[in-house]
Amino acid sequence: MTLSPDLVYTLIPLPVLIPLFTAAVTLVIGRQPRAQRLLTVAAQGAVVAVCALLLYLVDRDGTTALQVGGWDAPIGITLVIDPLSALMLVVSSVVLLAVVVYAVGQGVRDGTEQQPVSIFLPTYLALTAGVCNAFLAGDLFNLFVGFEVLLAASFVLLTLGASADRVRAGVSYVMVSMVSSLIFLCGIAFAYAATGTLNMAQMATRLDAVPVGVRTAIFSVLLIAFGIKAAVFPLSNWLPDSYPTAPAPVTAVFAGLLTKVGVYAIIRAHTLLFPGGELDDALMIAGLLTMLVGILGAIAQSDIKRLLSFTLVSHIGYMVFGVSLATRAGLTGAIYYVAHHILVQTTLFLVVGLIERQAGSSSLRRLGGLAASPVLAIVFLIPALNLGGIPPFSGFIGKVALLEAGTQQASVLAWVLVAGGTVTSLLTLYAIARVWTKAFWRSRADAPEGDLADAAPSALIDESFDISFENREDVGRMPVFMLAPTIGLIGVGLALTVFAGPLIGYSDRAAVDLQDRSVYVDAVLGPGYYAEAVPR
Amino acid sequence: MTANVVLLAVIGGLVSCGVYLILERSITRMLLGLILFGNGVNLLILTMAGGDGSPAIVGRTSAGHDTMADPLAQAMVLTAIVITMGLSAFVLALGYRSFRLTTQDRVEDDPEDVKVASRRSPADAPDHDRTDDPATGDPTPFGDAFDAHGNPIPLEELVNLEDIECYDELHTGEIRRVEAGEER
Repeated sequence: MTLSPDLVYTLIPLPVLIPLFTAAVTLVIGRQPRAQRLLTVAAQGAVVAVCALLLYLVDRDGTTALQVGGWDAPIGITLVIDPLSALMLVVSSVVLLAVVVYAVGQGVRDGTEQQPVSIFLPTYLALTAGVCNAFLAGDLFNLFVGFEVLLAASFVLLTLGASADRVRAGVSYVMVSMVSSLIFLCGIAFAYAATGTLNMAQMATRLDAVPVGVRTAIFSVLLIAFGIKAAVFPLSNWLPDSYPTAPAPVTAVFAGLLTKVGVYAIIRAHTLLFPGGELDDALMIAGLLTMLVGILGAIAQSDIKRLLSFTLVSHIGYMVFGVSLATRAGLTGAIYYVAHHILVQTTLFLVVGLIERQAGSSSLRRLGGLAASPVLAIVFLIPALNLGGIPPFSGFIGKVALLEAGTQQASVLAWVLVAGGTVTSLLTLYAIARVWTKAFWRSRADAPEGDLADAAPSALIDESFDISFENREDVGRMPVFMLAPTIGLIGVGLALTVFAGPLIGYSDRAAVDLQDRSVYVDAVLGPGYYAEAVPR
Repeated sequence: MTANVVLLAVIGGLVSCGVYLILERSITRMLLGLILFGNGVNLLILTMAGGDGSPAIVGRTSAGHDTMADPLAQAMVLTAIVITMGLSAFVLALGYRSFRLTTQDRVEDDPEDVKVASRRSPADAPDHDRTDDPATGDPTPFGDAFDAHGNPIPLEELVNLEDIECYDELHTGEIRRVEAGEER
């Protein structure tokens, strides 16, 4: 059976529509938690299926655009699926499904009537819709709307339960995100004034006629907006303060996805709208500083969640590095690395949730002796080694692809970045190895505060206080529905290694499509538009 | 394209006041700053869309205008206003909640961040063990004892230092250093 090429038009809006409608329904049936959970998991599963089909169809038939409501391209809203956005959609939807199962597993286990579960799932679905919309958006303002939808949902998720800690973190997170959105709006206004269109394909053809200075100015405004969202170095300090206070599944999905939406926007803007390369050197330096400052911050942390937040910032630098090389190999590496990093970072945060559940803390000053639970030890070790870039895993493959691309480009800055990337990789291994030796290997009696534990670890609401470790009520061993999605994500992460060849090949095709802008422009505005609009 | 200088000056004023207020620690002031900044940006979008004109309705003209005003910018501003309003309401709720919890209108530093920044002694280091030397942070034999197979010996089972197979290899250096210190 072969699938009709027209099927793609039916599928494109579904990753946005399914979660949005399900969010509405789950809000209505908030009184029936079981139905709500079933429906949410089913919807997320459906999104995974749709995205996988989209990936297959895009790889077969190429970039496709849907003109929503029948309005033609420059006027109406356009949803575009190209190899890059299809890959991002698939990886994100898999992560979102795993995390929602994990959250439900945790909620089922901790289930008390105090927990705000009835708003958790609808908000989570809205977040899914926002993320998918951002990946599918074919015009700049729709991208902004996607960002806003996912941000508004993330505000609610970050402040779930509204404890003092989360409100404090929430206020700074909301402020930083709003400022970045407003800067994005400024960028949209400037771009609109310069080109008279918001459609990214049409804007791409018209920006070539804009004077270089103006074009660079618009790009830098957009880059600052995306840089805040992606947590690129001088703009990254909000992240380690806000993410770790959220509930474990929320932190996991934020860490995996939200920054990568920013990275996606940077890739899209850099390749489609501003391929001139005026800011490549600045991007490279920002990437280098992101890597080094981030990982040095990670080394200083004693809380595992904060440590991982810093490694998250640090590894964003790798993707910025790949993008700023502006070569086919660099883009290929960056795309593969985004997929790898979404999976590994989410998995690690989910594991920290398991550690909190098991040991009542995520602080290295309290943890010890976790290796007594072999399952937990293996579940931590595999993604940890993966993050550190140990050979058989996808982290190694991604880093090799990026470093190789750097050596091919062979400018002085690229070599500096190759060195910086190597150092960062080693320091990541150091930070991760320290977590391993302290939390898993030493006896808990040897931890400086080992006799203390959180009373209510990793529940959706956060009213934790310290109690003596012996008095801690055993909240239970790791529930199956928390463990299973974690293991599932590790499996997907390992699949990135096993199928590294085809995936690098796919990333390469995506990179070629990104660099040849005519593919995207012609898909949106009709065949031949690019050749006509941009005379050679 | 010509732009209205007065409007541009107003935008500059709004945005700079907004940024100034956002840098405060009081949630109320930050919210006011956000609203000012948002209004500045909305005005910017309207200005960027070109001059004034007739309403964007087919068949409607107004005196003195030959052209239609750009409706797209108005639609964008409308969307931006709605988003800013919704999020302002959310920030208000957060501010109220924060006031209920802390009885003050202030955003404090992250406590974990403060803890990391205020570390002075090696004993505060993230990889510190209870059995490490509290002053220097150096490991002592009690924390890092391993048996013949290389497995760590739990603290409570550690009775006799000589029982440890590789004790000498691991810790002779440490002990010699201490002795040298005593000689001085």
